[in-house]
Amino acid sequence: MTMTKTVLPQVRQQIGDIEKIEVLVGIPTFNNAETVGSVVKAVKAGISKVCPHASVLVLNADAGSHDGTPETIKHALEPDLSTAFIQHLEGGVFPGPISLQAPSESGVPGREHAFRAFFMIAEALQAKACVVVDANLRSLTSDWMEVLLHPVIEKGVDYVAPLFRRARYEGSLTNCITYPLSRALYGKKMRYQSGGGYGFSGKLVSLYLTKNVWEGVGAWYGIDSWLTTVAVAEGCEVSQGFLGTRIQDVKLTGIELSVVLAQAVGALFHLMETYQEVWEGRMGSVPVPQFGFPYEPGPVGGAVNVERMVRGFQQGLRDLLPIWEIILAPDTLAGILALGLIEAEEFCFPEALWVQTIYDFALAYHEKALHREHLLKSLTPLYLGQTASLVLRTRDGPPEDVERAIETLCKTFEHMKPYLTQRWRFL
Amino acid sequence: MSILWPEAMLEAFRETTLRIAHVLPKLLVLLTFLALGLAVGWLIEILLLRLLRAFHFDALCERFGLGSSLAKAGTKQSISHLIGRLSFWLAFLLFAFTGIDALDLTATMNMMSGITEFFPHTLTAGLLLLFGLLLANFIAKAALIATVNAQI
Repeated sequence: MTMTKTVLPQVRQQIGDIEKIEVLVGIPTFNNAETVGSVVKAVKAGISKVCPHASVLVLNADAGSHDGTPETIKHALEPDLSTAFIQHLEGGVFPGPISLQAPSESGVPGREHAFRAFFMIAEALQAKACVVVDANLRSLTSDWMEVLLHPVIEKGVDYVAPLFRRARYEGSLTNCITYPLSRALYGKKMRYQSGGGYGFSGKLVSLYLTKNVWEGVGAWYGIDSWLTTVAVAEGCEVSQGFLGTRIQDVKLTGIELSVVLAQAVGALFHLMETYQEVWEGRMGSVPVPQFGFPYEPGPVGGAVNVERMVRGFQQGLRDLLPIWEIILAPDTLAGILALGLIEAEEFCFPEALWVQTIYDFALAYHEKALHREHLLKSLTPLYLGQTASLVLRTRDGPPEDVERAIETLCKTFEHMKPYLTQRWRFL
Repeated sequence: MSILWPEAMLEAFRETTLRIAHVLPKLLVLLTFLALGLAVGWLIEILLLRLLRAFHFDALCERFGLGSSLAKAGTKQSISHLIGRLSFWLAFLLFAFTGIDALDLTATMNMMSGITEFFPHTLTAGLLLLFGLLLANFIAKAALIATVNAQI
């Protein structure tokens, strides 16, 4: 029997005669006993501040922990809050045929199964709001509940995406590709940061369940890659919540960059095919409401090895050229070839060329010019080149320079959108 | 003697005529089969080319790296073009062998049955070769991308 059929009876058995709830808090876990105790305590404190009289169910979906994670949650919450536990990966089976389906940054395998279970239970119990928080966080405070729940309950917002204070060059995948591309496509200034915590309305939860993203190609890319895109493309009331600095237990992660990149970019490209009618007609971009206390740009962070990045780009240029020849338009390829002659310290990837490169990859994905996993992973050296270029341009200036550079890049993506739309139609 | 010579001549001429009369229809059958082979082969090639183009077969082969493999082997034509040419020759040879078989020559008598027996083996070998080529290409590309991304 599949998880989708067994989860509801499992939860009903545990919650007794509860037929309806107002808030569901979902916690996906996998060997998080060290951190989950403080996470659930913060959740409990947050709920008592934001909605002390609401009926709340805390649902833990565990992927088969061996360190007593569910017991830790039970001990920390009961009897103050109703709790239920499910094992979302029965027998620890890891579904999916290709290597793109790897554990996310949260370290929870099959994370989308956990989310699906939360959404199904939230819908079945007619919850007005659903909050999902990661169990490996060390920085989660009770304030998170206010930022994630309050806009949904009080302001009629459908989706609260997380927004973290990050070190200067942290999240460069988001800054260089996912944020500018999705902003140009769907016209919303969502930063596309993922993981940590989300807030959903009951309406959006039901909408997600109807979407064809849980199985097949859509599911390969991991749920964090498409939650925001679906909400934005479907025209839901979206917002961002400032959650401070994200500190997480990273002992279970260590995924290759190319896999993370393929998941994030692949999900965007995949949904471009689904939402073609939506993004073709949208021009420009508008800001979205933001909740919580806004943060200044983060500190410099750890040292960035620009030389290694440029070397990665140059190695790609040397070895992956036959693959890029299939993907890139001749003038894009000519521009990239010219970059191979520049010294590491003077390396500069022009913004327009980068935008054209991403649009060519999207077009090649749509055209199925190459096996899609190969196509997505072959973007990695180019991404390293773009990131190196961003670092070299901004490292001597104040932190605001990075934000300015990202804004300029976003505008270039928006300005060059006709390059994409005109070609996409003829494929 | 003077009577025997014209009779012998006539007999020889009659025999030759009979032989020609016996072979000529078979030659005509051969020529007809050759002409039919050309026409049917050409028709199959054209139809197959259009069908493959409609299904973007070349793009599909490119996706699996087959196009680049053939290019490396020195083939400049597209895969759909190659398949079209191959199908033309297969159809033409089938008709040609049928025509040769119709000649009833001792040397070619068992040729058709031999070809019929040999054909499935050739087809299987060809398909195995194609599958191996596709798999090798796929793995080679995956390994190359992984190596570059790991900066090895």
